[in-house]
Amino acid sequence: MRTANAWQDLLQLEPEFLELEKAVREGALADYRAIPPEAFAWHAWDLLPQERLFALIWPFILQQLERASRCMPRIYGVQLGEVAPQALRPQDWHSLPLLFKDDHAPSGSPGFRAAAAADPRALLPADAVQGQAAFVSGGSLGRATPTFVSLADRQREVSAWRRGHDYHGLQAGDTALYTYNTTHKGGQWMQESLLAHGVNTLLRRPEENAAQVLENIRRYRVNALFTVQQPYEIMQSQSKAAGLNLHSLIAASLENPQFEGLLLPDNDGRRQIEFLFLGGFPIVPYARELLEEYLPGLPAATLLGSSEAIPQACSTNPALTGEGRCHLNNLHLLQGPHWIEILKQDGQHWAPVAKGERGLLVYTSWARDGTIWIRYAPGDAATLLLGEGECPCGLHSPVISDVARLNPDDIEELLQYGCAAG
Amino acid sequence: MANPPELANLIGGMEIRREVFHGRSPFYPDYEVATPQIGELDAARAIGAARRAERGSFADRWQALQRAAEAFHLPDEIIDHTVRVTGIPRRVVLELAADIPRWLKGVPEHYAGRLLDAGSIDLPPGAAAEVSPHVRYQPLDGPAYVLCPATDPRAPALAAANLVALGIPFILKASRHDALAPRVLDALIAGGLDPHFCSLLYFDNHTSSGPALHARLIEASPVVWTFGPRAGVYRAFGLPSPASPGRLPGTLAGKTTLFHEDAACAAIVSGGFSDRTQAFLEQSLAFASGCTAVRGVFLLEAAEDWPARCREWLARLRVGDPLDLDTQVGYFHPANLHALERARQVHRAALESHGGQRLSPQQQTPLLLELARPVSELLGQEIPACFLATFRCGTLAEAVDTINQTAVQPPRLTVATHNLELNERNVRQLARVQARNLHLEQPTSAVHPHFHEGNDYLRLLSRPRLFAGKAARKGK
Repeated sequence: MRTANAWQDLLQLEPEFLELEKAVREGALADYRAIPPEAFAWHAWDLLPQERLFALIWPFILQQLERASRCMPRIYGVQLGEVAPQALRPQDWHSLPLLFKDDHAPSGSPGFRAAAAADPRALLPADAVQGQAAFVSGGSLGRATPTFVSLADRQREVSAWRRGHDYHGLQAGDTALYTYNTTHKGGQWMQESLLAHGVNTLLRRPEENAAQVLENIRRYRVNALFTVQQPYEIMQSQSKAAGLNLHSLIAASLENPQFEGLLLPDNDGRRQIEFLFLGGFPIVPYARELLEEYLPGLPAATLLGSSEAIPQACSTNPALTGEGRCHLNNLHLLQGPHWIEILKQDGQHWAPVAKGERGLLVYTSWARDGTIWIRYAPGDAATLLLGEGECPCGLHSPVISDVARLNPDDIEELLQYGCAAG
Repeated sequence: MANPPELANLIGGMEIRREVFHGRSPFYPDYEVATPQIGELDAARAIGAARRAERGSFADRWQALQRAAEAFHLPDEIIDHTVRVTGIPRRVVLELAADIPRWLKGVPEHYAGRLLDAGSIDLPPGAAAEVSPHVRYQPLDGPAYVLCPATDPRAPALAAANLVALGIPFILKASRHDALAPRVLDALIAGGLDPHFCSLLYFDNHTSSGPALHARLIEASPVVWTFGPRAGVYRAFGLPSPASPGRLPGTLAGKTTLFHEDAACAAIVSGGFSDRTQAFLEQSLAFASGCTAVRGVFLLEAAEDWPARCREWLARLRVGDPLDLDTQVGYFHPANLHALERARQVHRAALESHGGQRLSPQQQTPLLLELARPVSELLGQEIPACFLATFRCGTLAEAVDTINQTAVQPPRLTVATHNLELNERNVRQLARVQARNLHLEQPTSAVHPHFHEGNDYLRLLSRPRLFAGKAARKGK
């Protein structure tokens, strides 16, 4: 694991990023596909002002706008019907309507769920290369809809996730065990990104119980644990982790003295696990109770992502960024390969919220072969906790907090009243 | 109204209080008790504590029990609390509590020299000497999960004394209002027992998490010790009763499971109603809500005026507020008094009834029922209330037969004799009594804590090993 005095090593602009920026500025690189996937592992994405990043990706946004209009008409026919992509300027961005999955009368935007339900391939661009994987999400209000991703999309997102691993302190040679359900996109991307990062990776098999997982932690000398913890009241429904969570691992540790010193500290305070990744849910109050009572001193962090876009934001390892405010559920935005925004309605526009305000989480997948998201609001909201450059940890990107799924009524309220409803 | 004592779960020597659930005393409606509720991880911690407990040698544990007996102390607030939540008169609670240090001190004597323990094999002197066959008992591996009842405040101490003597770590699930069990465990730890050896848990059986907590604790425990009848225990655990009596539900299969079945006590009484008789019956009746209280009295060659004198004596018993030190007859659950009243009404043609005046939903004066014919419901059923049902028998054989035939759930728990000559003929008859315990000139309420209600704990909680052969000596 990275030590705190090596944190500063991550806060360096990669020369390759500057070369990329120059190539884009000079017009030598106008197709997102020419960006090598490993570019999304560069820390520069998190060290530069948002405006500068937006200027860098603008040509690719235009590229995707054109593809979305042309290749996904059943999805973007209304939203982009009046938009001429090549005439669009960066300052026009906020006037572009949002894409919603379900109809929203206040904004006049029809949702795309019905179109996708009629034919899920409406979300597959007509020009998409062969070999797309479909990951579905958002079935709670109706039929789930897919996001198609190509192998290259996967490589971009996996590379970007490596920045999260860096900010969590993982290094080549560490050994991670994860209990995630690998039928989920997150579980698969997690495995691949860890491998790409040089981390030895151990997967929990579905038939293994908590005691067996702990035994594997001991035998393989695992020092990073990736697991989930749901709210206590919904712990019985464990589809994302397929039956295992932090609670059950703690229970097995408490019950069996032979597991002392692995996850729970031994009598001398020693513990083999050095870092805990909690994903799938925000770090819920019950998880924080578990951390405080049973795992004192164990650094924990998370990374926000979804089937539609990975990564979106992440917190950092508190052991590395002691002075930072980006801990637990306070997350630095991770720009690239998606553009992440927190927006409020401002007349006819959707504009970024100010610090302290709450808004819709919106993303634009500007480097995506498969399903193109243009200002897509999946139904999550977040609060802008810190503006860019304000977090003492040294990462420049803004910090968001209180990410939560809105119910349809909340979305109505935010649309009508903006973040003043918060 | 006094404030209840603060209760805490005790796990690995740590007191743990989280959320509480509230309950009111069934006898003092304004007396509300907040009981700390454990969560799943607390149960896990208790299991882990038991698994890592230091057992020590038998000698160590005996010493710890002796010291625990010295250290055991019950402040007045705990006594008063116990009265309020059980309805047992204060003077009786004091007597019951006095049993606890006696049991802690005395139980290990019954296991001395019998356990497979370091140095316990009798080796004769000399080389390659013959070892005469002898049996030692190897206690079962723990932990033991003990479900304590609400009715007898001594139950946790009885279980603890035996389990400590045997070296079986345990987890006690206390009744929700039990403030006495923590004092027992505190005394054991103060006496030098490893704090991991004994844990005390409270949780609400009636919530959705109750059965799940029971299930986890049962799963982790090779020994499950309950103080109730099977039907009640299965209900408490959230288990369905198995289709075949005698078969255990799947959850308990493969476990060593102790039950204490319902089994009414009885006494065979001869001679006149003397002061000794009064003392004999009073000891059995004093804890009238307990399962060791005598219910059926079988009169054998008893004086003609025996029932009348008994009636007068019962009428003199002081009925009142259990908190009052003078009170001899306290409160009972209304359901039990209803059951008694119903039985009396149903069988009124077969009996003469004296006393039994209902003073309140939870109180009635002592009742004497003189039966003209044997009625199982009154002679052989455990109804926790203050009453005696008498039936005259012509011979001891008839008394024994009637005792056996009227037992609703045979065998009886305890049958005691008073003023009965122990000649060879009588002993042969007494041998036919179907009862777990036979007390000769001892009231039914005399508890032998190493063999309670028919449970021989040494035999049930250990495996016998026979040692025989030759003792090889090193270097000879």
